[in-house]
Amino acid sequence: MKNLKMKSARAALDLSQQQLADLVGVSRQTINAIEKGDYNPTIRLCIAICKALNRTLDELFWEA
Amino acid sequence: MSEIFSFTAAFIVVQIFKIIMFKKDKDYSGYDERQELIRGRAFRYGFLTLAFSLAAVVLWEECVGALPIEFSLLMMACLMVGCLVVILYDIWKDAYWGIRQASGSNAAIVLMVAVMVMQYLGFRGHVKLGDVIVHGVLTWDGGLCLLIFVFFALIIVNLLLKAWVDKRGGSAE
Repeated sequence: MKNLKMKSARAALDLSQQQLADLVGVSRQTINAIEKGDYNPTIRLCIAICKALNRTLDELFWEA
Repeated sequence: MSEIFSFTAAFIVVQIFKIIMFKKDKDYSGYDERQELIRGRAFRYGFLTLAFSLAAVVLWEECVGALPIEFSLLMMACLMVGCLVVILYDIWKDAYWGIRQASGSNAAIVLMVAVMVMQYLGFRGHVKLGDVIVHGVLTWDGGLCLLIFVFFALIIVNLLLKAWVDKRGGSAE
């Protein structure tokens, strides 16, 4: 399932996938795979993404 | 003896090349969990391919008869097919395979083309000497040049094809 919440949070900060990838220390392809729902990140990476996007885990990764 | 020296020299050159290239990526943490996962799978598939191809070759030689290829070259071909599975799986699943795809792919292609040119020249030399096929058997000397040439050609083709697919699909947003 696509992670549109993460994509919109990234877009709200005007960050490209590459910029977010650099902030959390992974590759651009990994960010792309998470947003497309092709890869389930570990909690360590989820937290890093939340910190970079100033959001909580619930806001980005919890499916209501 | 000279072959062992050549392999060692080539290995050292590639390692130096990698160190220089990685030095440019100061911000890169060196750990990407998704890629580690993919690489783990790639190594598993590569190992299984190697094991099955070696078994198939030995079985064929024992049960059917000798292939018109020198046995050492066949073993090397199996090894390279295993390596190829690892590399191609990594390329198509967006993982790094020794050198970074993002910043190092152009340099890697240049290096691979250089190796291919050397192998082609080597192969031509062996053709002139007439020792590529001896008594109907593809020899180690001539066959190895051809094998390495095809190996790198397949990697380059897949790298370019993947880049084209990514560009067409617009994977970066």
